[in-house]
Amino acid sequence: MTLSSEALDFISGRRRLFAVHQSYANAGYRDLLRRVAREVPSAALGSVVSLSTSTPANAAARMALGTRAHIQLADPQLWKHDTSGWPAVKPGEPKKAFTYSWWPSAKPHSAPVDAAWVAEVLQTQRDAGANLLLSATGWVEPSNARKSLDDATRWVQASRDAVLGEPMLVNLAFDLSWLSNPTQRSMLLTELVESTESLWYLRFFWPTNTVRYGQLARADVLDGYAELVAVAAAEDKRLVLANTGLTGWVATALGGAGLSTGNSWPEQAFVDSPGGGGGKGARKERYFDVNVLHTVEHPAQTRLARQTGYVRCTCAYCTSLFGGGPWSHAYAGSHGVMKAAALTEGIISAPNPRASAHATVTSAIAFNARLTGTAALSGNDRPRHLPLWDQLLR
Amino acid sequence: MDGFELLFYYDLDDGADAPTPQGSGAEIGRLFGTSAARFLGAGSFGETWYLPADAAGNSERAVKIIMNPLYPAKRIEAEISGLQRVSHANVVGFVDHVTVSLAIGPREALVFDYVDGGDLSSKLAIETIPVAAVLPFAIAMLGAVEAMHAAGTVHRDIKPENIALRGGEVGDPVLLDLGLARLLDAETMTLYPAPMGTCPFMAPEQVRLERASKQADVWALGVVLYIMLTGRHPFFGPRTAAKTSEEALAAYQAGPPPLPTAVPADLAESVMTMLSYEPHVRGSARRHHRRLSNPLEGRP
Repeated sequence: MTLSSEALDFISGRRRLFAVHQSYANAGYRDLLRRVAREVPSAALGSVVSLSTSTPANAAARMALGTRAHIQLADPQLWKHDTSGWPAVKPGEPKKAFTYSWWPSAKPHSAPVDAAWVAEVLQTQRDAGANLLLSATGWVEPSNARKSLDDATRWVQASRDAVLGEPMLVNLAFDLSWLSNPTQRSMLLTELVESTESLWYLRFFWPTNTVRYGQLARADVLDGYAELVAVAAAEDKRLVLANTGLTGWVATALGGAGLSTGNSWPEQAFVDSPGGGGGKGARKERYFDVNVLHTVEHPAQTRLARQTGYVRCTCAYCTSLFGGGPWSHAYAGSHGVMKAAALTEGIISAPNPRASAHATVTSAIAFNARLTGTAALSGNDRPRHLPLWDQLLR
Repeated sequence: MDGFELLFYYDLDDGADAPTPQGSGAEIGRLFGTSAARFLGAGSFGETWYLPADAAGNSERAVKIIMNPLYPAKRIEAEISGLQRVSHANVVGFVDHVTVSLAIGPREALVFDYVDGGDLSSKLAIETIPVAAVLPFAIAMLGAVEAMHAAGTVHRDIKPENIALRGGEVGDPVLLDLGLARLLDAETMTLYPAPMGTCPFMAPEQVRLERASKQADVWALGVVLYIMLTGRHPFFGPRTAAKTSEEALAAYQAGPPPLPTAVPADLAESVMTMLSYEPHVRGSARRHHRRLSNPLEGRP
């Protein structure tokens, strides 16, 4: 596979990665990538298509929408398989959507390595148009952690053996306890230090009770993210946090190699999402407001916009969103991706990404602190994560 | 601890407990087609003999004969595979694997390049290593361990006795006995507890009988470097002040005493980091090798 200089720069550690997941409803993805590319020119741009919701032909067609991206990933999302142990697995549902021959024979990591199966999963990524492969691995069980990690490592090694020298991202999905529990965290970090693999694409399963379109507000987990990216950076490993939204932005400021995000909540965070607009009732109108670094409901945003010092977004999506027509969830989501890209550019082009991110967070805290009366954010609109980010970035 | 107690102390080797070989020089020399072999030393599982150059064109070699018949054959095969993957100027060259017929029965033997010049343990026993000589030693050893780890091989018994000094030069060390050292894991310690009473280079995870891998090598090398820089062990005194496992772990958690200010800052930082209690905090051999080889790398 021929890789662009930007992709090679990411692989060698000279560029961060900003990857955008392609929603199943992919209208406008090509335009979004074009605009995002302008927002984050210092990064290698990534495009991610899920293989778990695609036929082979559909996957290739969707991947073709992302050819602007320097790095194209076709994620097999093996954690979704009902043998994986992922607690939110929905038996039968993925099988119905999944048409690849290797899907029915997917096995948990505890099973003996099947080299032929691994090769097939990798080849499917190539066939779809991926230019950087993801290891044929998925969920790493938190119970019996030592064995689980060793088992996953065997499958990573099988993937390494099968890619024949091509660059490959170690693709693993973890429970949050791998960040918060000191023993598990130490195991994971030691694996990161000792592994000869240099490219990592990790996701951590956020709790079901996380505020939709919000950020994690747990100090222990954020400390875990921070230590993970710091160790990776010290070891000259590229660690991309997949489906980690703006928490991935903070991690990137602390030494991470990049993040992936997308329009919708399950693309912004690795969560168990019921799908649709957030459960029962009409889908809420939400907007990522960079003034408070948080996604708030539209009425709250309207109140924020009346405050002194409020900075309005001028992206193409906001022009349409606030042009008087009906609310567009797609545009609101795309605006969020644009802002995440702009924020990422802000830190990766700064001489000191950590200080730059901290300045942005401090500014958001100050703006939030000035809100009074009906403008004050409450409930799920309140940016509870900001004080934690402030501590982390100091 | 599971029926046997480890004791932790560090005494310089004064040669008083020199082992007696099971084999004879004449017998081993004959088996390898050379004049009489010379006994070099013995470990828990085998003996090492020097083989002089022979008429068949073989240069000087060292042969390690596995005297203990309980040594698992699968381990020998796995370790040979590891040895064959490593090619580094500071890792002893592997030549061959043969089975020899000794009077006590057939035994497996591994043949290596011979490194003339004695080992670091002997050097430490008779002289103080100048601080300036430690940096090139550290860079060479870290390169050796990095190469070994990149090949998927773990030593698990890095100590001064297993580091030869080519030509007697501290700056040209050669790591010996990789592979056989895999014996020092929890499984074999349970099988062979008796010879394992002194373990001054064991990492905390090895003391806890947990899985020890690459980071245990980084720890052990950190201990070796600390001894070279200070003339004393970072955690243990002599036999008369031996520590138990629990005391050893407590000492590890407390951390080593600071290094003398005469030690260059980069080297001191690496050595102290390598002696971190948590394996991941120690950093990889690769990281320290790059850092010490290129002092400007990773600095603002």
